Amino acid sequence: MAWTWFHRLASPPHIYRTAGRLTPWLAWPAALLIVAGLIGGLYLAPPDYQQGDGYRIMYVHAPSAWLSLMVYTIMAVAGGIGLIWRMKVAHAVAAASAPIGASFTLATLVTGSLWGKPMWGTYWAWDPRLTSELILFFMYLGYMGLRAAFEDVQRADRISAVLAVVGLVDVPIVHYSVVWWNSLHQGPSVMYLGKPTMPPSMLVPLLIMFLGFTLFFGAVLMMRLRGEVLLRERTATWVREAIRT
Amino acid sequence: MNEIAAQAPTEPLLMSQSRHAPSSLAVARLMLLRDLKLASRKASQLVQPLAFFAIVITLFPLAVTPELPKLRHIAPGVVWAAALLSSLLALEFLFRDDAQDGTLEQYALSGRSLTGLLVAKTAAHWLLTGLPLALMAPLAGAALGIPNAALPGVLASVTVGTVTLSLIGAVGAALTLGVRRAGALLSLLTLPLEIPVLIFGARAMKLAIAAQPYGAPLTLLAGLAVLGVTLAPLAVSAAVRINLE
Amino acid sequence: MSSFHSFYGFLDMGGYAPFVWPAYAVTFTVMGLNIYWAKRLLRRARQAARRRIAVQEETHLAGPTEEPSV
Repeated sequence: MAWTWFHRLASPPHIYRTAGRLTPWLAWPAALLIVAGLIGGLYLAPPDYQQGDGYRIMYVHAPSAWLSLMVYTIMAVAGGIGLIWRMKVAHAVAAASAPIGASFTLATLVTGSLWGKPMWGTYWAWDPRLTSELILFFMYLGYMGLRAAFEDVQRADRISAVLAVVGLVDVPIVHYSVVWWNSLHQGPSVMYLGKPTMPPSMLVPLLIMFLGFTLFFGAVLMMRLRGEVLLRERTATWVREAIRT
Repeated sequence: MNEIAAQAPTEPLLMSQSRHAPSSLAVARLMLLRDLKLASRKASQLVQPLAFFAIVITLFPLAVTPELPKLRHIAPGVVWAAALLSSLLALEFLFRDDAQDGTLEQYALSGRSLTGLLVAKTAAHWLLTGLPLALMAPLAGAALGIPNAALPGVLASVTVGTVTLSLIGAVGAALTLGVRRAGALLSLLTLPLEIPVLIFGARAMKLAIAAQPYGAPLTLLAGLAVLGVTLAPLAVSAAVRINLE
Repeated sequence: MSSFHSFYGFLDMGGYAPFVWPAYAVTFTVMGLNIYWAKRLLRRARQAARRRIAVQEETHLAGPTEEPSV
């Protein structure tokens, strides 16, 4: 009885409608925050005393890196929920998340290497963060490849969920083993993020960007989620109503 | 009332102790022995991964340099990368034959532990590919200029590491059970997950070559194996069940 | 207020322009593509649903041997 609200909340027609309604409420704040973060980060924030204006790459690199990890976590947790409670909608969330996460992982790699060139003198260094990020990118590719290998959506959902959960267990192990490996080789690591004393004029735009990117993910997720929910509804009558608009 | 009381104890007897229905453990052992016997009849399956391993090792002196001091420097990486690749070879067919002839399905329906059976098959895979690789690794190491005193370290690191490789490989094989021509996808799924094994394994070997204590990375490697033994069977049986549906 | 003295100084990014601007360009291209892909997915899912429904309605009209839709 206490679960009826939960099932209504998770029912495909309800999700389809809610996701559609939520999209602008996520998209517009995201756009405003990202514009504010851009002005703050590119224009108002002072240059760094060591890295000059080069550190401004951080304002897009760090939020992308945050999304790459957060989205993988969401994807795995949603997949796990879908496996345990056999919830189509949870699988739809996982399916909708994967390409977004993969694209931001790629953005993290490219911006990281663009940051690396002036700082390390080379576009690619086997820095532990970038290396973990590269492995994460391969994991996303594997996940999407596995999904694409199945004709049947239901089976693709459940199989790829198992992989995502296994990956979620493995991601921290990979990360710490890579950090450990790097500490043995004294690799260059001059990224900005570990620095404890960032003046507010630098920190505030970064936090705004984090929030903006997160809301952006929310908005794109809602759009994709509607598509994924529709793909999973073969013969439901509500679809008839939903697509008429 | 009497009838129920009389029937109740007989059911568990039928399930586990009857002569006609051997226990899950006994079936797992039979499966292990059967897989070993099958492999002994088809020696090519056993030999090919080893030949592949030897060829990959041979490529490096030819591609890099025949000078042993230089080869010794890259030997841990070469041996481990070759081991990772060789362990992929037989994976695609780990569960496939038993899935196609219906053995796995019959077993899943029988009510006994499918997990036990799959663990037995994974153990057979390790005995047939992991252990031979480990036994061959010192030979390969010696050919790459690793001093004799370090060869026990080479043997130990590959022996412990291949346990985890077989377990992760079994997860990959179970995930792609329903996929035709899964080879490339299988490597894309398993290799990123296997990176911690590569890092700790190569580190142990490197320390052994430098005549330093290599207990720490070997312990980490053993830790991964323990974690794998605990968690991988769950993922394997979940994935096999989904693919059998 | 600003950390730049001129518009040119802003564009130059203290000499880091060849790294800063491509990084921003890549990130916003990725964001743009995400929006495009999401819209395309929704459009295709709707088209597929529409086609399915059209086929269903046709078979409904064709005769009484309709399968019960679940």
